[in-house]
Amino acid sequence: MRKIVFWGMHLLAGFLIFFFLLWHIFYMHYQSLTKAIGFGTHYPLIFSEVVARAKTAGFKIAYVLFLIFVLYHAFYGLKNILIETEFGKKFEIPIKILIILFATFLFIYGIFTTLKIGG
Amino acid sequence: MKEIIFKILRFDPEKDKKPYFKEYKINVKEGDTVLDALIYIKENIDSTLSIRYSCRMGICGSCGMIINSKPELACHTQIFELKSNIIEVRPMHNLPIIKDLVTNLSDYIKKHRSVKPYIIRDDKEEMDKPKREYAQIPDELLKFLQFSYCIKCGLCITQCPTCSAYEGFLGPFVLAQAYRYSIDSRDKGINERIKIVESSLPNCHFATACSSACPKGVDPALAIQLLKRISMLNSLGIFKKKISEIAPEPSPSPDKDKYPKAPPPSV
Repeated sequence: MRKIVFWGMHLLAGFLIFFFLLWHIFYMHYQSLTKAIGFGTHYPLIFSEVVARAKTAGFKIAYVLFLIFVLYHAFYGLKNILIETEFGKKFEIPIKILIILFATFLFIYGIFTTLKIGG
Repeated sequence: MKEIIFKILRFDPEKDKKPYFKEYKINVKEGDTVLDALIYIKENIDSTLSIRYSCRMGICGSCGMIINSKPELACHTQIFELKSNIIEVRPMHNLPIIKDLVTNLSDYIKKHRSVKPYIIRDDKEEMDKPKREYAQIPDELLKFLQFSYCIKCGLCITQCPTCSAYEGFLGPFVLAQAYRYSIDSRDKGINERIKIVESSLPNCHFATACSSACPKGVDPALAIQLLKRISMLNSLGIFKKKISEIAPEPSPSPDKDKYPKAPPPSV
């Protein structure tokens, strides 16, 4: 894939993070508000309802996608910043490898945590 | 006439360890440009001062320098308009100094050459021995017209924060020229150019300092953003551009016989 497409995906991921963040805030913290207007599914202060919500497939898929967009946006941006520095110029390939490894580790850890929540 | 102090940054890499300022007091009149003053200093006060200039009318782009902390063409900057009795003149930033106010642009000229700043076609016979021009409507011309005013003076490089930090970056005017030819309806070389420029495109952080520095009103920052867009669309295979064909042969005028014949050539 062309390098410019990766950059385009970086922009797209930033755009999607904004919408996922809005979704996260309303879904996690404003359920009483959304429920009042007829869109909510549970009350966030009732533990059993929170656990039940975390077990749903939609919740898990949404959080895995959110995780992918955040990690891609953050680490692609970090790579671009680092390779423009004097240090980055000298160690461009090791920096890229380290960033990919670290992002992969965080992705696996995030997937593991998301899937484990709620059983 | 008014007395002005010129503080000029001097540096000879063969003699000096680091650059230093030297002051010259000269009398200037209304209408004098900074280049006029520098030529006066070189001819009458200090012949060791090195400056580069050619056309003296803002066309060749040779006399780019930093005047009172702003990137300007010396021939295009009137001394009285600066409204200061002390004028500080430095060579352009982000470029190696050859001597005094003369900087080395050869690295960027090589980069410029690398993006193939010319029309690329697959009909080589027509390119070598053209029958007629390629037809282009005014709307197609307007897509690149402002970018064709670039004189490659290098003032955009001087102001670019990425150029100061990252040598691998192609630079604003080079990318603007890559866009200028890629969007030209007569050109078919977009794929070749994108392969060369695409690694540089994400390094532009859209500071737009290049556009504010340009003495010819070109907007390289805009060109780079548009180049990002067409590069991405082209990479995804959804970029479409109407390609100009050879203009049709003009039909002979019915009234041609009524016009007087041209006189025979005198040379």
